[in-house]
Amino acid sequence: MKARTGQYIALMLVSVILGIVLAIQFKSVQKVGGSVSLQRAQELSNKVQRLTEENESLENQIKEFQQRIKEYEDAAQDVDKITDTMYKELERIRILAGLSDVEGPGIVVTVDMKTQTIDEFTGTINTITDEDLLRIVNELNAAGAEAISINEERIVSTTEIRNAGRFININTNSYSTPFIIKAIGDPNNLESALMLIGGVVDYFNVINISIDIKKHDKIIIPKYKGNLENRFAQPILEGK
Amino acid sequence: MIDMRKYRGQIIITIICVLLGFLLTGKYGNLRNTEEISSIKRIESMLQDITRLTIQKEKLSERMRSLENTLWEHEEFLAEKDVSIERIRNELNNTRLMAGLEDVQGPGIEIIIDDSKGPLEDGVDLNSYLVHDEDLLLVVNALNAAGAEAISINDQRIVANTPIKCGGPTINISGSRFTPPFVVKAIGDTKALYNILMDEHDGLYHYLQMWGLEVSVKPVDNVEIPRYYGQVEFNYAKPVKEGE
Repeated sequence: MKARTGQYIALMLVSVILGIVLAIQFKSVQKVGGSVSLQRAQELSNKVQRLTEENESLENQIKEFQQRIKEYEDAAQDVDKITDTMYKELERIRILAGLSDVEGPGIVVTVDMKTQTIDEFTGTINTITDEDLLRIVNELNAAGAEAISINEERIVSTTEIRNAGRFININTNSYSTPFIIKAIGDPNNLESALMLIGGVVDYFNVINISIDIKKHDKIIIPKYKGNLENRFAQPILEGK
Repeated sequence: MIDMRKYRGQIIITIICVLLGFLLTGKYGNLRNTEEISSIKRIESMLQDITRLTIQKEKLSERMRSLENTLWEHEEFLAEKDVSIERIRNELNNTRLMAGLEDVQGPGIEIIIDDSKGPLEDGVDLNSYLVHDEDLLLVVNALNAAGAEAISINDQRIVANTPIKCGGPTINISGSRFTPPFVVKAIGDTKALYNILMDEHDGLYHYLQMWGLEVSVKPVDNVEIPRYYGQVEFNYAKPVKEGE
Protein backbone atom coordinates (compact mmCIF):
# COMPACT_ATOMS: atom_id res chain seq x y z
CA MET A 1 0.00 0.00 0.00
CA LYS A 2 2.66 2.46 1.07
CA ALA A 3 4.83 1.72 -1.94
CA ARG A 4 1.89 2.45 -4.26
CA THR A 5 1.17 5.76 -2.51
CA GLY A 6 4.79 6.72 -3.12
CA GLN A 7 4.44 5.93 -6.82
CA TYR A 8 1.29 8.06 -7.01
CA ILE A 9 3.12 10.95 -5.42
CA ALA A 10 6.03 10.62 -7.83
CA LEU A 11 3.68 10.50 -10.81
CA MET A 12 1.82 13.55 -9.58
CA LEU A 13 5.01 15.51 -9.20
CA VAL A 14 6.23 14.52 -12.64
CA SER A 15 2.91 15.73 -14.04
CA VAL A 16 3.28 19.05 -12.25
CA ILE A 17 6.78 19.49 -13.65
CA LEU A 18 5.49 18.62 -17.10
CA GLY A 19 2.86 21.29 -16.65
CA ILE A 20 5.47 23.86 -15.79
CA VAL A 21 7.63 22.84 -18.73
CA LEU A 22 4.59 23.26 -20.99
CA ALA A 23 3.86 26.63 -19.45
CA ILE A 24 7.41 27.78 -20.17
CA GLN A 25 7.17 26.45 -23.71
CA PHE A 26 3.92 28.30 -24.20
CA LYS A 27 5.44 31.56 -23.00
CA SER A 28 8.40 31.13 -25.36
CA VAL A 29 6.01 30.72 -28.25
CA GLN A 30 4.31 33.93 -27.18
CA LYS A 31 7.68 35.59 -27.10
CA VAL A 32 8.25 34.88 -30.79
CA GLY A 33 5.11 36.89 -31.43
CA GLY A 34 6.63 39.58 -29.25
CA SER A 35 9.69 39.96 -31.46
CA VAL A 36 7.47 41.18 -34.28
CA SER A 37 6.42 44.14 -32.16
CA LEU A 38 10.08 44.62 -31.35
CA GLN A 39 10.77 45.07 -35.05
CA ARG A 40 7.85 47.50 -35.22
CA ALA A 41 9.34 49.45 -32.32
CA GLN A 42 12.63 49.59 -34.21
CA GLU A 43 10.84 50.97 -37.27
CA LEU A 44 9.11 53.62 -35.20
CA SER A 45 12.31 54.68 -33.52
CA ASN A 46 13.96 54.96 -36.96
CA LYS A 47 11.12 57.15 -38.08
CA VAL A 48 11.43 59.43 -35.06
CA GLN A 49 15.15 59.76 -35.66
CA ARG A 50 14.67 60.45 -39.37
CA LEU A 51 12.00 63.09 -38.83
CA THR A 52 14.17 64.79 -36.21
CA GLU A 53 17.08 64.93 -38.65
CA GLU A 54 14.92 66.13 -41.51
CA ASN A 55 13.50 68.91 -39.34
CA GLU A 56 16.98 69.92 -38.29
CA SER A 57 18.16 70.22 -41.86
CA LEU A 58 14.99 72.14 -42.76
CA GLU A 59 15.73 74.56 -39.92
CA ASN A 60 19.28 74.99 -41.19
CA GLN A 61 17.98 75.59 -44.69
CA ILE A 62 15.54 78.21 -43.39
CA LYS A 63 18.30 80.02 -41.49
CA GLU A 64 20.44 80.01 -44.60
CA PHE A 65 17.65 81.44 -46.78
CA GLN A 66 16.91 84.13 -44.20
CA GLN A 67 20.57 85.03 -44.15
CA ARG A 68 20.73 85.39 -47.91
CA ILE A 69 17.51 87.38 -48.13
CA LYS A 70 18.92 89.73 -45.50
CA GLU A 71 22.14 90.07 -47.49
CA TYR A 72 20.20 90.94 -50.64
CA GLU A 73 18.14 93.50 -48.76
CA ASP A 74 21.15 95.04 -47.05
CA ALA A 75 23.01 95.33 -50.31
CA ALA A 76 19.95 97.00 -51.88
CA GLN A 77 21.40 98.85 -54.84
CA ASP A 78 24.98 97.64 -54.50
CA VAL A 79 25.43 95.37 -57.50
CA ASP A 80 28.91 94.25 -56.44
CA LYS A 81 27.71 93.13 -53.04
CA ILE A 82 24.78 91.25 -54.53
CA THR A 83 26.88 89.44 -57.10
CA ASP A 84 29.33 88.66 -54.32
CA THR A 85 26.62 87.00 -52.22
CA MET A 86 25.34 85.08 -55.21
CA TYR A 87 28.81 84.02 -56.22
CA LYS A 88 29.57 82.60 -52.77
CA GLU A 89 26.38 80.56 -52.99
CA LEU A 90 27.31 79.43 -56.49
CA GLU A 91 30.77 78.28 -55.34
CA ARG A 92 29.25 76.17 -52.59
CA ILE A 93 26.68 74.50 -54.83
CA ARG A 94 29.30 73.89 -57.51
CA ILE A 95 31.29 71.73 -55.09
CA LEU A 96 28.21 69.57 -54.46
CA ALA A 97 27.51 69.36 -58.19
CA GLY A 98 31.19 68.58 -58.85
CA LEU A 99 31.44 71.52 -61.22
CA SER A 100 34.57 73.13 -59.79
CA ASP A 101 38.14 72.00 -59.24
CA VAL A 102 38.63 71.64 -55.49
CA GLU A 103 41.59 71.32 -53.16
CA GLY A 104 41.99 70.29 -49.56
CA PRO A 105 43.41 67.63 -47.24
CA GLY A 106 42.59 64.01 -47.93
CA ILE A 107 43.90 60.66 -49.08
CA VAL A 108 45.13 59.12 -52.30
CA VAL A 109 44.35 55.42 -52.69
CA THR A 110 46.10 53.36 -55.35
CA VAL A 111 44.67 49.96 -56.22
CA ASP A 112 46.37 47.56 -58.58
CA MET A 113 46.73 43.86 -59.24
CA LYS A 114 49.54 42.23 -57.24
CA THR A 115 50.20 39.59 -59.87
CA GLN A 116 48.13 38.32 -62.75
CA THR A 117 46.40 35.34 -61.21
CA ILE A 118 44.01 32.90 -62.76
CA ASP A 119 40.86 32.20 -60.79
CA GLU A 120 40.92 28.53 -59.71
CA PHE A 121 37.21 28.10 -60.22
CA THR A 122 36.35 30.08 -63.30
CA GLY A 123 39.68 29.97 -65.11
CA THR A 124 39.44 33.69 -65.85
CA ILE A 125 42.05 36.29 -64.98
CA ASN A 126 41.31 38.03 -61.70
CA THR A 127 40.84 41.74 -62.16
CA ILE A 128 39.55 44.72 -60.26
CA THR A 129 35.82 45.07 -60.86
CA ASP A 130 33.34 47.92 -60.83
CA GLU A 131 31.97 46.62 -57.53
CA ASP A 132 35.39 46.94 -55.88
CA LEU A 133 35.63 50.60 -56.88
CA LEU A 134 31.99 51.29 -55.95
CA ARG A 135 32.68 49.87 -52.54
CA ILE A 136 35.65 52.18 -51.98
CA VAL A 137 33.67 55.24 -53.12
CA ASN A 138 30.78 54.33 -50.83
CA GLU A 139 33.07 53.80 -47.81
CA LEU A 140 34.76 57.14 -48.43
CA ASN A 141 31.38 58.89 -48.69
CA ALA A 142 30.27 57.26 -45.45
CA ALA A 143 33.46 58.65 -43.86
CA GLY A 144 32.48 62.17 -44.93
CA ALA A 145 34.40 62.60 -48.19
CA GLU A 146 33.53 65.97 -49.75
CA ALA A 147 34.91 65.26 -53.22
CA ILE A 148 36.13 62.05 -54.87
CA SER A 149 37.78 61.24 -58.18
CA ILE A 150 38.95 58.01 -59.82
CA ASN A 151 41.73 58.49 -62.36
CA GLU A 152 40.81 62.20 -62.45
CA GLU A 153 37.12 61.48 -63.17
CA ARG A 154 35.10 63.43 -60.62
CA ILE A 155 32.43 61.30 -58.96
CA VAL A 156 29.08 63.11 -59.27
CA SER A 157 25.50 61.99 -58.58
CA THR A 158 25.12 60.61 -62.09
CA THR A 159 28.51 58.86 -62.29
CA GLU A 160 28.44 55.22 -63.34
CA ILE A 161 31.28 52.77 -62.61
CA ARG A 162 30.74 49.84 -64.97
CA ASN A 163 32.75 46.86 -66.16
CA ALA A 164 33.30 47.03 -69.91
CA GLY A 165 35.42 44.09 -70.97
CA ARG A 166 38.93 44.57 -69.61
CA PHE A 167 38.17 48.18 -68.76
CA ILE A 168 35.99 50.03 -66.32
CA ASN A 169 33.86 52.89 -67.59
CA ILE A 170 33.65 55.95 -65.40
CA ASN A 171 31.66 58.95 -66.64
CA THR A 172 31.52 57.10 -70.00
CA ASN A 173 35.34 57.06 -70.34
CA SER A 174 37.29 53.76 -70.17
CA TYR A 175 40.05 53.11 -67.65
CA SER A 176 42.23 50.18 -66.67
CA THR A 177 44.56 49.47 -63.73
CA PRO A 178 46.02 51.05 -61.74
CA PHE A 179 43.12 53.01 -60.31
CA ILE A 180 44.01 56.11 -58.37
CA ILE A 181 41.23 57.29 -56.08
CA LYS A 182 41.47 60.72 -54.50
CA ALA A 183 39.22 61.92 -51.72
CA ILE A 184 39.08 65.24 -49.88
CA GLY A 185 37.96 65.16 -46.25
CA ASP A 186 39.41 64.38 -42.82
CA PRO A 187 42.43 62.22 -43.83
CA ASN A 188 42.33 60.16 -40.62
CA ASN A 189 38.62 59.40 -40.92
CA LEU A 190 38.94 58.50 -44.59
CA GLU A 191 41.91 56.22 -43.96
CA SER A 192 40.40 54.42 -40.99
CA ALA A 193 37.13 53.82 -42.89
CA LEU A 194 39.10 51.70 -45.36
CA MET A 195 41.27 50.05 -42.68
CA LEU A 196 38.37 48.68 -40.58
CA ILE A 197 38.65 45.00 -39.69
CA GLY A 198 36.84 43.10 -42.43
CA GLY A 199 36.76 46.31 -44.45
CA VAL A 200 38.06 47.24 -47.87
CA VAL A 201 41.78 46.73 -47.20
CA ASP A 202 41.23 43.29 -45.63
CA TYR A 203 38.96 42.28 -48.47
CA PHE A 204 41.40 43.42 -51.16
CA ASN A 205 44.22 41.46 -49.53
CA VAL A 206 42.09 38.33 -49.79
CA ILE A 207 41.29 38.84 -53.47
CA ASN A 208 44.92 39.64 -54.32
CA ILE A 209 44.55 43.35 -55.05
CA SER A 210 47.22 45.70 -53.74
CA ILE A 211 45.90 48.79 -52.03
CA ASP A 212 48.05 51.68 -50.93
CA ILE A 213 46.73 54.62 -48.89
CA LYS A 214 48.60 57.91 -48.50
CA LYS A 215 47.44 60.89 -46.47
CA HIS A 216 48.07 64.35 -47.90
CA ASP A 217 47.71 67.91 -46.62
CA LYS A 218 46.62 69.11 -50.00
CA ILE A 219 45.26 67.29 -53.01
CA ILE A 220 43.50 68.67 -56.04
CA ILE A 221 40.40 67.03 -57.51
CA PRO A 222 39.29 68.17 -60.96
CA LYS A 223 35.76 69.12 -61.88
CA TYR A 224 33.30 66.92 -63.75
CA LYS A 225 33.77 67.22 -67.47
CA GLY A 226 30.77 65.23 -68.67
CA ASN A 227 27.35 66.11 -69.98
CA LEU A 228 25.54 68.91 -68.19
CA GLU A 229 22.25 68.92 -70.06
CA ASN A 230 19.16 67.36 -68.61
CA ARG A 231 17.02 65.86 -71.35
CA PHE A 232 14.35 64.33 -69.14
CA ALA A 233 14.45 65.74 -65.62
CA GLN A 234 12.85 69.17 -65.45
CA PRO A 235 12.48 71.33 -62.37
CA ILE A 236 9.04 71.34 -60.77
CA LEU A 237 8.29 75.04 -60.76
CA GLU A 238 5.97 75.64 -57.89
CA GLY A 239 4.59 79.12 -58.02
CA LYS A 240 7.72 80.28 -59.79
CA MET B 1 7.79 3.87 7.68
CA ILE B 2 10.55 1.90 6.11
CA ASP B 3 8.97 2.45 2.71
CA MET B 4 8.56 6.17 3.24
CA ARG B 5 12.21 6.44 4.07
CA LYS B 6 12.94 4.56 0.89
CA TYR B 7 11.23 7.26 -1.15
CA ARG B 8 12.17 10.25 0.97
CA GLY B 9 15.24 11.13 -1.03
CA GLN B 10 13.33 11.04 -4.31
CA ILE B 11 10.46 13.10 -2.89
CA ILE B 12 12.73 15.81 -1.60
CA ILE B 13 14.52 16.08 -4.95
CA THR B 14 11.22 16.25 -6.79
CA ILE B 15 9.92 18.96 -4.48
CA ILE B 16 13.08 20.99 -5.00
CA CYS B 17 12.71 20.56 -8.76
CA VAL B 18 9.12 21.72 -8.67
CA LEU B 19 9.99 24.76 -6.57
CA LEU B 20 12.81 25.54 -8.97
CA GLY B 21 10.42 25.18 -11.87
CA PHE B 22 7.94 27.56 -10.28
CA LEU B 23 10.69 29.97 -9.43
CA LEU B 24 11.91 29.97 -13.02
CA THR B 25 8.47 30.44 -14.55
CA GLY B 26 7.72 33.18 -12.04
CA LYS B 27 10.89 35.08 -12.84
CA TYR B 28 10.40 34.63 -16.56
CA GLY B 29 6.82 35.82 -16.37
CA ASN B 30 7.77 38.91 -14.40
CA LEU B 31 10.47 39.77 -16.85
CA ARG B 32 8.11 39.52 -19.78
CA ASN B 33 5.43 41.61 -18.17
CA THR B 34 7.66 44.58 -17.44
CA GLU B 35 9.16 44.29 -20.92
CA GLU B 36 5.73 44.34 -22.47
CA ILE B 37 4.47 47.29 -20.43
CA SER B 38 7.59 49.35 -21.11
CA SER B 39 7.50 48.58 -24.83
CA ILE B 40 3.81 49.55 -25.09
CA LYS B 41 4.56 52.81 -23.29
CA ARG B 42 7.57 53.36 -25.52
CA ILE B 43 5.59 52.71 -28.68
CA GLU B 44 2.84 55.11 -27.54
CA SER B 45 5.33 57.87 -26.84
CA MET B 46 7.06 57.26 -30.18
CA LEU B 47 3.74 57.47 -32.02
CA GLN B 48 3.10 60.82 -30.32
CA ASP B 49 6.59 61.98 -31.29
CA ILE B 50 5.94 60.99 -34.89
CA THR B 51 2.68 62.95 -35.04
CA ARG B 52 4.32 66.00 -33.49
CA LEU B 53 7.41 65.82 -35.72
CA THR B 54 5.32 65.31 -38.85
CA ILE B 55 3.27 68.43 -38.13
CA GLN B 56 6.48 70.31 -37.40
CA LYS B 57 8.00 69.08 -40.63
CA GLU B 58 5.01 70.28 -42.65
CA LYS B 59 5.25 73.72 -41.08
CA LEU B 60 9.00 73.93 -41.65
CA SER B 61 8.67 72.77 -45.25
CA GLU B 62 6.03 75.40 -45.90
CA ARG B 63 8.24 78.05 -44.31
CA MET B 64 11.19 76.95 -46.38
CA ARG B 65 9.21 77.04 -49.62
CA SER B 66 7.92 80.52 -48.92
CA LEU B 67 11.43 81.78 -48.12
CA GLU B 68 12.74 80.08 -51.24
CA ASN B 69 10.13 81.94 -53.26
CA THR B 70 11.05 85.25 -51.63
CA LEU B 71 14.67 84.56 -52.41
CA TRP B 72 13.84 83.65 -55.94
CA GLU B 73 11.79 86.86 -56.38
CA HIS B 74 14.70 88.90 -55.03
CA GLU B 75 17.09 87.29 -57.48
CA GLU B 76 14.63 87.74 -60.32
CA PHE B 77 14.14 91.40 -59.46
CA LEU B 78 17.88 92.01 -59.19
CA ALA B 79 18.59 90.09 -62.39
CA GLU B 80 16.25 92.37 -64.32
CA LYS B 81 18.22 95.38 -63.22
CA ASP B 82 21.69 94.15 -63.98
CA VAL B 83 23.17 91.86 -66.64
CA SER B 84 25.98 90.49 -64.47
CA ILE B 85 23.44 89.56 -61.80
CA GLU B 86 21.25 87.93 -64.40
CA ARG B 87 24.16 85.85 -65.66
CA ILE B 88 25.09 84.62 -62.22
CA ARG B 89 21.41 83.99 -61.38
CA ASN B 90 21.03 81.76 -64.43
CA GLU B 91 24.13 79.84 -63.52
CA LEU B 92 22.91 79.43 -59.95
CA ASN B 93 19.66 77.91 -61.18
CA ASN B 94 21.45 75.51 -63.53
CA THR B 95 23.91 74.46 -60.87
CA ARG B 96 21.12 73.88 -58.34
CA LEU B 97 19.47 71.58 -60.85
CA MET B 98 22.71 69.64 -61.48
CA ALA B 99 23.54 69.43 -57.77
CA GLY B 100 20.15 67.89 -56.89
CA LEU B 101 18.85 70.99 -55.10
CA GLU B 102 15.64 71.23 -57.15
CA ASP B 103 12.55 69.04 -57.12
CA VAL B 104 12.40 67.47 -60.58
CA GLN B 105 9.92 65.54 -62.66
CA GLY B 106 10.06 63.57 -65.88
CA PRO B 107 9.61 60.12 -67.40
CA GLY B 108 11.34 57.23 -65.70
CA ILE B 109 10.90 54.07 -63.66
CA GLU B 110 10.01 52.95 -60.18
CA ILE B 111 11.66 49.92 -58.60
CA ILE B 112 10.47 48.32 -55.38
CA ILE B 113 12.85 45.96 -53.59
CA ASP B 114 11.79 44.05 -50.48
CA ASP B 115 13.15 41.29 -48.28
CA SER B 116 12.30 37.74 -49.30
CA LYS B 117 8.77 36.70 -48.33
CA GLY B 118 9.42 33.01 -48.96
CA PRO B 119 9.75 30.42 -46.18
CA LEU B 120 13.18 30.08 -44.58
CA GLU B 121 14.94 27.03 -45.92
CA ASP B 122 17.19 24.96 -43.71
CA GLY B 123 20.87 25.71 -43.95
CA VAL B 124 20.39 28.94 -45.89
CA ASP B 125 21.95 32.05 -44.37
CA LEU B 126 19.22 34.46 -43.24
CA ASN B 127 21.34 37.29 -44.70
CA SER B 128 20.59 36.19 -48.22
CA TYR B 129 16.87 36.91 -47.63
CA LEU B 130 17.50 40.58 -46.84
CA VAL B 131 18.09 43.65 -48.98
CA HIS B 132 21.68 44.87 -48.56
CA ASP B 133 23.41 48.18 -49.09
CA GLU B 134 25.32 46.62 -51.99
CA ASP B 135 22.07 45.71 -53.76
CA LEU B 136 20.92 49.33 -53.66
CA LEU B 137 24.37 50.61 -54.67
CA LEU B 138 24.34 48.31 -57.70
CA VAL B 139 20.85 49.46 -58.70
CA VAL B 140 21.81 53.16 -58.46
CA ASN B 141 24.99 52.48 -60.43
CA ALA B 142 23.14 50.57 -63.17
CA LEU B 143 20.55 53.35 -63.49
CA ASN B 144 23.37 55.89 -63.83
CA ALA B 145 24.94 53.72 -66.52
CA ALA B 146 21.62 53.94 -68.38
CA GLY B 147 21.75 57.71 -68.17
CA ALA B 148 19.51 58.45 -65.18
CA GLU B 149 19.32 62.18 -64.52
CA ALA B 150 17.92 62.01 -61.00
CA ILE B 151 17.56 59.13 -58.53
CA SER B 152 15.96 58.81 -55.11
CA ILE B 153 15.64 55.94 -52.63
CA ASN B 154 12.64 56.27 -50.29
CA ASP B 155 12.45 59.93 -51.32
CA GLN B 156 16.07 60.62 -50.37
CA ARG B 157 17.73 62.28 -53.34
CA ILE B 158 20.97 60.58 -54.33
CA VAL B 159 23.73 63.19 -54.70
CA ALA B 160 27.47 62.88 -55.34
CA ASN B 161 28.39 62.14 -51.73
CA THR B 162 25.40 60.02 -50.67
CA PRO B 163 26.57 56.96 -48.76
CA ILE B 164 24.41 53.82 -48.69
CA LYS B 165 25.42 51.67 -45.73
CA CYS B 166 23.98 48.72 -43.84
CA GLY B 167 23.53 49.36 -40.12
CA GLY B 168 22.12 46.24 -38.52
CA PRO B 169 18.60 45.55 -39.80
CA THR B 170 18.35 49.00 -41.41
CA ILE B 171 20.10 50.76 -44.27
CA ASN B 172 21.53 54.26 -43.88
CA ILE B 173 20.96 56.55 -46.84
CA SER B 174 22.34 60.07 -46.46
CA GLY B 175 22.53 59.43 -42.72
CA SER B 176 18.86 58.46 -42.29
CA ARG B 177 17.89 54.90 -41.46
CA PHE B 178 15.42 52.98 -43.58
CA THR B 179 13.81 49.55 -43.46
CA PRO B 180 12.49 47.64 -46.48
CA PRO B 181 10.73 47.96 -48.82
CA PHE B 182 13.01 50.29 -50.73
CA VAL B 183 11.40 52.40 -53.44
CA VAL B 184 13.95 53.54 -55.99
CA LYS B 185 12.82 56.21 -58.47
CA ALA B 186 14.81 57.37 -61.48
CA ILE B 187 14.18 59.94 -64.20
CA GLY B 188 15.63 59.38 -67.67
CA ASP B 189 15.01 57.44 -70.86
CA THR B 190 12.40 54.96 -69.58
CA LYS B 191 13.34 52.28 -72.09
CA ALA B 192 17.07 52.47 -71.37
CA LEU B 193 16.48 52.43 -67.61
CA TYR B 194 14.07 49.50 -67.88
CA ASN B 195 16.27 47.48 -70.23
CA ILE B 196 19.44 47.77 -68.17
CA LEU B 197 17.66 46.24 -65.18
CA MET B 198 15.78 43.58 -67.12
CA ASP B 199 18.71 42.49 -69.34
CA GLU B 200 18.69 38.70 -69.69
CA HIS B 201 22.41 38.31 -69.06
CA ASP B 202 23.34 40.77 -66.35
CA GLY B 203 20.13 42.58 -65.45
CA LEU B 204 19.92 43.25 -61.73
CA TYR B 205 16.24 42.27 -61.73
CA HIS B 206 17.20 38.66 -62.31
CA TYR B 207 20.19 38.84 -59.97
CA LEU B 208 18.10 40.15 -57.07
CA GLN B 209 15.30 37.68 -57.74
CA MET B 210 17.82 34.87 -57.74
CA TRP B 211 18.56 35.77 -54.11
CA GLY B 212 14.86 35.47 -53.38
CA LEU B 213 14.26 39.20 -52.96
CA GLU B 214 10.91 40.65 -54.01
CA VAL B 215 11.57 42.98 -56.93
CA SER B 216 9.25 44.93 -59.18
CA VAL B 217 10.20 47.30 -62.00
CA LYS B 218 7.60 49.62 -63.48
CA PRO B 219 7.93 52.29 -66.20
CA VAL B 220 6.27 55.53 -65.12
CA ASP B 221 5.20 58.46 -67.36
CA ASN B 222 5.92 61.10 -64.78
CA VAL B 223 8.18 60.49 -61.81
CA GLU B 224 8.60 63.19 -59.18
CA ILE B 225 11.87 63.25 -57.27
CA PRO B 226 12.40 65.62 -54.33
CA ARG B 227 15.44 67.82 -53.87
CA TYR B 228 18.34 67.03 -51.57
CA TYR B 229 17.67 68.44 -48.11
CA GLY B 230 21.00 67.61 -46.52
CA GLN B 231 23.75 69.96 -45.55
CA VAL B 232 25.67 71.72 -48.29
CA GLU B 233 28.63 72.51 -46.08
CA PHE B 234 32.20 71.81 -47.06
CA ASN B 235 34.81 71.99 -44.33
CA TYR B 236 37.74 70.54 -46.25
CA ALA B 237 37.17 71.06 -49.98
CA LYS B 238 37.79 74.59 -51.21
CA PRO B 239 37.46 75.74 -54.80
CA VAL B 240 40.80 76.04 -56.60
CA LYS B 241 41.14 79.70 -57.48
CA GLU B 242 41.68 80.16 -61.17
CA GLY B 243 45.13 81.37 -62.21
CA GLU B 244 46.77 79.58 -59.30
